[in-house]
Amino acid sequence: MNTSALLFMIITQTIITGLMLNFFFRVLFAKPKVGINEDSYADNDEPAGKK
Amino acid sequence: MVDNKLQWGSRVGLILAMAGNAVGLGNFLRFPVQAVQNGGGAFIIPYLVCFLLMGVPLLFIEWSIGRFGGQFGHHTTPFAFARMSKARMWKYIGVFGIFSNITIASYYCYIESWTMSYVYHSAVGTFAGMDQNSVAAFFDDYLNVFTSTTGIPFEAIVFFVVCLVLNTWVLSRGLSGGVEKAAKIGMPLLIVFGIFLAVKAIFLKAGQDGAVYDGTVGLNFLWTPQFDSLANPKVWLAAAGQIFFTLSLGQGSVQCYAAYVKKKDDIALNAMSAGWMNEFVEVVLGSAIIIPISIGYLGIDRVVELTSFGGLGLGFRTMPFLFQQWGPLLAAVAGVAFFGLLFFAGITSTLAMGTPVMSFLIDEFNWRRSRAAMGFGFSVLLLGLPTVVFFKKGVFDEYDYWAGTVSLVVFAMFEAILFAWVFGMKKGWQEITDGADIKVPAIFKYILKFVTPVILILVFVTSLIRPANDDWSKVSITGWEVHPESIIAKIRNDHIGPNCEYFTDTYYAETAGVVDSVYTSEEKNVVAVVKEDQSVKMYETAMTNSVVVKKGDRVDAGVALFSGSFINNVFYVDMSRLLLVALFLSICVLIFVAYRKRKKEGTI
Repeated sequence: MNTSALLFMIITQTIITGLMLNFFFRVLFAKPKVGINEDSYADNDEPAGKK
Repeated sequence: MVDNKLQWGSRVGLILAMAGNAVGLGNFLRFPVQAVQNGGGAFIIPYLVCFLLMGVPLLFIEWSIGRFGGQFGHHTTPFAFARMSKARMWKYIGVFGIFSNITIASYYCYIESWTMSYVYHSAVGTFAGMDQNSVAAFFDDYLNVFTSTTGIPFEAIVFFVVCLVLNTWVLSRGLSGGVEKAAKIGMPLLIVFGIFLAVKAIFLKAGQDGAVYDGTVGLNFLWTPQFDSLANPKVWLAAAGQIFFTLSLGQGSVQCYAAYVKKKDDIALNAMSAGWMNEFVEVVLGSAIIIPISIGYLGIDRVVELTSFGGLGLGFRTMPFLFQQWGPLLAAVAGVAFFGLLFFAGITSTLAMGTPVMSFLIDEFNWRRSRAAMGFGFSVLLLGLPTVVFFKKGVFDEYDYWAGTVSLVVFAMFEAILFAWVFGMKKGWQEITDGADIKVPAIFKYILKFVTPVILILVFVTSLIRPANDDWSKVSITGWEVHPESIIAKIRNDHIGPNCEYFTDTYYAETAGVVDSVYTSEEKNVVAVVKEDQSVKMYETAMTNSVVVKKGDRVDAGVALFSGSFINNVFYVDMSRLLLVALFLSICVLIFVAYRKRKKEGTI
């Protein structure tokens, strides 16, 4: 590959992969919101009968 | 009592489903072809600029509209729009958010069924020993519903129905139990398959397994910047178009998925996460598979020639042959991985198209979830069968053009204006930032208000009046010749040519050339005409019609080739347009009925 193509590819792909991982990890490790009784996601709901 | 409630199971599930909605066959087949046709590496600059100025703002808009409508129990765009403005027209513009989904699903499900069929054929070794022409002919045979490549009669229809039943079944399981589970399986597998194929492509070596060039030759071709093409409006239009299709914008599916997110939950980070995941699959994986492999075997010139027929042709007519060069075992693995990857990309998108239709039936007509899924499946079957049976008559292309291209641009243009100028940027910004887990840069407030609507209006206007050969210097106040793909040319049926009557007793040559051969094949009369550019145009007709030219005759466009009884393609083209208009109007009537019902109940 010529240098400009290689540089262009590496820079673009690094930026895109970096931003994708950054946003995805922020979703994965986002803290639950304080003061919200019921959020949008069923997996976070407490099982019925459990207080 | 049946549980009819639709709810996401987890945030990661929502992100994967939303990314799955965006990631489609276009990421692997359309993006690399667009890049090759628009200056290689230079295409990526307008592409990323369009992503930031049009893609990201539209993602914010669509997620916000969705969550806003969801607060009032509206999970589809007609009623979400009605909540944003009292003007009656908006709910009817919102109809595009249901119309596009049903129509795109009806032909997209057909392409999805090809991938399913090709996974099977790759696994059982159907392509072993075939040369390139045989693999291409296999695809043409597959598209003919009356021929069978497996012994199953009407095979194309059978695979289409199986695919549709699978989609309907997953949809009937709801969001967390169906769509989200499919995304959690499909997306990781798609990425694994993609990485496997990309590694294989990048390390392709000239002289090994029949390759003529290294895989890096293709990458070099794709990534060498050609900055002069940045001044070409065609490249910018292509980049904007690609951003539209790749993010599934202007379709109504993003709004529907986001409508199940509650008011205090984040949408800004979710939108960024799903959007950049799509970009990763498209730019990093999508660019590293078909172009490096095909150039490695066929060379740059041949691949540029093949890309002029679009990405579908390259994917289905060529890739199975190239995989065969890797030996029987690796060919089977690569074929299953490639078409499996396309299948997962396809099904996660069709599920996203089904959800707004289901939500509409559940919200407005209190249908049960399974009944609503069946309603979607049945509608897609009715609308999709003409694309399967009359594929070669142009029905598929008409659906794709009007519902899969024009409708998206029109809808996105209106929703950007509604959000920024009618609903108002103050309320709009509040919607975007409420509960946000990231700080959205304030500059987007201005981009959303001024830049994005202007870009969308420009995209629409240029699609309407695009000049022939994309030569914008020819545009003048006295008029100009329009591009055959422009909206004006399509409405006028400019592409139809001399066979412009529905029913006729004579079939005419469409282009000038010399008759190279006249023969019969598979109970058809065939005339091969060599055009002035030396390419060959094949004309076929039933044996009951007679040939009125002979070898060596010079024919011009409009000269009779066959006589007998004909139904021309223009008939199928116009009928498919009528069908789409009828569908749009039917949904408008349903919206009218549902609106009156809600008014009576006092729920709007």
